[in-house]
Amino acid sequence: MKRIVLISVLFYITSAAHSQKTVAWNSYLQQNGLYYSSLNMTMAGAGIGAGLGITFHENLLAQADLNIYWINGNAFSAQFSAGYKKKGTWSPALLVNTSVLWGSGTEILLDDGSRPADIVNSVGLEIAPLRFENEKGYVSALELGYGIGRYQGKYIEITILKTGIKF
Amino acid sequence: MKIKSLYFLIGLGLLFSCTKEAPIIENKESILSFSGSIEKSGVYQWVEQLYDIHINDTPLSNEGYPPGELFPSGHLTRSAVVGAVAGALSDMGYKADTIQLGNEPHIAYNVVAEQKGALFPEEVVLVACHLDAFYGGADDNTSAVAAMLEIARAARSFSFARTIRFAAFDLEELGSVGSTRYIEAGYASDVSCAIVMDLIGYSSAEPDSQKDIFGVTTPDTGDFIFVVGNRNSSDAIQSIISLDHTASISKSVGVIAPGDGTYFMSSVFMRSDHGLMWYKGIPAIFFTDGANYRNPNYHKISDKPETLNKDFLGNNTKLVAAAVALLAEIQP
Amino acid sequence: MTDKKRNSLTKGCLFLLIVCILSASAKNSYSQNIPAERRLEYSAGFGMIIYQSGYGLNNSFGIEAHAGKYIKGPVKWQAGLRLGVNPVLPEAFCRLLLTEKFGRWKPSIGLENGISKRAYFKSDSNLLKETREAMDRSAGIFYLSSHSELLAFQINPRLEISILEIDFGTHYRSFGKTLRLQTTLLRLNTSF
Repeated sequence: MKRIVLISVLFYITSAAHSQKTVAWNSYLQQNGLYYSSLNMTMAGAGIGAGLGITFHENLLAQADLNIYWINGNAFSAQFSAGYKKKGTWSPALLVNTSVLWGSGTEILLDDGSRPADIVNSVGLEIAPLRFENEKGYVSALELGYGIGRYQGKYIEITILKTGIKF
Repeated sequence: MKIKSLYFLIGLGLLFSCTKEAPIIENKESILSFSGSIEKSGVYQWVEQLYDIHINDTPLSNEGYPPGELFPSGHLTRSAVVGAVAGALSDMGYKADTIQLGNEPHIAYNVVAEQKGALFPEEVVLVACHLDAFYGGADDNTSAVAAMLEIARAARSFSFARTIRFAAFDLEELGSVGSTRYIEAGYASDVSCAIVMDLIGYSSAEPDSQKDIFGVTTPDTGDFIFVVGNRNSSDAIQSIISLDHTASISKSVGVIAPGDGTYFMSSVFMRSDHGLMWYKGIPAIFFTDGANYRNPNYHKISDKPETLNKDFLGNNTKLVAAAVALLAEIQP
Repeated sequence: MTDKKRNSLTKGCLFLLIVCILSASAKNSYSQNIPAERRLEYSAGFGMIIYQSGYGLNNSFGIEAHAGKYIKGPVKWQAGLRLGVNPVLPEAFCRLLLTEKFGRWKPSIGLENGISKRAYFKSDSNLLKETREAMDRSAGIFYLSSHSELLAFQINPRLEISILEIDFGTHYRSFGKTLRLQTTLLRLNTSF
C-alpha cells in the first residue's frame, strides 16, 4: 500500500512539474454589466471587475474575478469560471461558471415576512466569441453569459471588454 | 421539473447565507381588533362620494404643466375635496387644519388632523395620501383618501401610545408638491414613521395582469397589494407582511428597495409623497396596487368606482389599519 | 465657484485644449527615433456626458483632451481635461489603462478617477421641480469610472482613432446613487 501511495505521489509531482511548462497565469480587467432577476431578489448594474486567470495546456482555462455593479444599489459578485478555448490568435472560449452575488438589490419578501438571503448563488455558461490572444496577453470583447440561481433566478451578463496581461 | 430540481440543488448548496425572519409582533389581538373595526362598505361609500365631488369640480389651471399621455394636466381637481375631507374629519371630532403652502397659481392645501398619543405624544405616525386627482380618480387616489377617512373614524374608539397624524396632501400629481412643501417647511420633523397610500383599490385575477416593475420581477396576477419600504422601514415591512400572512387580512407582497431607495432602478418605487421622506431619512411605508403597471385606467377618465374591487379595497384598508396600530402601538 | 472664476477657468481650459490639439497635429521629426512605448501620446475628442441621481437627469456634449504614456508593458497612464457644453463646466481626470494590440485593433480598458461638478440637476420642467430642489444631496466632486475603448484602431505609427468609448461611473460621496455615463463618440490620438 505504501509503495502505491509513493508511486502515486511521485507520478503526481512529475506530471505537475511537466504541466508547469504549459501553465500560464494572467490578470485581467473587465467592464461588464449584470442583470439578475428572481422571485425574491433583483440585482443589476454595470461596473468593473478584476481577476486572475490560468491557462493549462493551451486549451483549458480557469479564472476568478471580483466585480462591482451599480444601478440598483451597489452589488458585488465573485465569479469562478472554467472552460475551453481555441488555440491561436483568435481564441474564442466557452466557460462554465459559478457566481456568488451579494450587496444591495430589490427584495421581494417571502410569504411569512422573511427577507430573502442577501447572498445569491448561481451557475451559468459564458461564451467569448471575440477573444484574441498573443504571447503578452489577450483581449475579449462582448462576452455573453446566462445562468440560473437562487429563488428561481435567471441572469444575463455582458462583458463589454476584458483585457488580460500574462505573467 | 428537472430545472426546478436544479434550482432546489442550488438552494440546498448554500451553507453561509440565511433569510432574516420577521420580528415578533406583540399585542397582536389589539392590532387585529382595530383592523377588524374597519367597515368595508364605509370605505366604498367614501370612494363614490369623493369621486362625484371630483367629477363635478372645476379643474385647476395647468399653466406651466403641459399635458402628456399619462399626465392629463388639464383635468386635475382638488378644491372641493379639500373642504370635504376637512369637513369629514371635523365631523369625526378631529381638529382639522388646512395648511396652505406656496404661491399662486398652485397653492397647496394640505388637510391635517391628529389623534394625540397616550404615552409618546411627541412621536408621530403619519398616515398620508394625496387628495388631488385627474378626472374622478377612483383608484388614484380616492381609494386611499377613503381608506384614510375610515381609519380615522375607527381610531376614535381606540387609544395609541404614539400620535397618529392623518394628512391628505395636495398636488401630488404635479410632482408631490404638497408633501414636499410640508416637509421642507418643517412640519414633518416629529414624524417617526409614515404610511403613504397611493392607488389601493384595483385588482385583477387575470393572468399577466401585473407587469414587472422596471425590471423587478413581481407575481403575474395583480390580485395583491404592494407594501414597499427601504432599509429604514424594512423591519416594519416585515412585521406587516408577517401579520398579514398569519391573520389573512389581505393579500400583500412586501418589497424592500435597496439602501434608501433612491437608486436609479429602485427610484420607480419613489413615485408618490413618500419619495422625499425616503430621501430625507424618514422611515416610510408605501401601499400601492402598482398604478400603471396594473391598472389600465390609470390617469384616465375611465378610473371610476365600478372598476375597483370593493373587497380588495376594504381588505387593504384593514391591512393599513393594522399597520397603523402596529406602528402607533395600540393600547390594549 | 463665482461666475468670474468659472469664466476664467473655462477660458484657461479652452486655451489648454487648443494647445493640446495644435501640439497633437504638429510634426516632430525627432519623435521618429523614440520607441513607440516611450512616446508621449496626445488625444482630442468629443462625446456626451449623462448624469442621473434621484429624479434628476442632465446630459451635455463635451470635448476632451488628454496626454498619456506607457508605464510598463501594456500599462499606460493618461491625464486630461474635459469641457462640457451645457452647462459649461470643466472636468479633470486621470486614468490607468491596460492596452493590447492585435493588428490595427488596439482596445484598452481601465479605471478613471476625476473631478467633476456636473452632478447637480436643474431642469426647466415644473414637474417634480420642488422635489428635485429638495433633494439637494451633494454628490461631491470626485468620481470613479470604468473606461473601455473597444473600437480603437492604429491608422499609422503615429495616429490612432477611437469611436464609441464607454465610461460608466459614480461619485464617491453618493456611491451608486449618482450615475455617470460618458461616451466619447470620436477621439484622435497621436504620439511623438
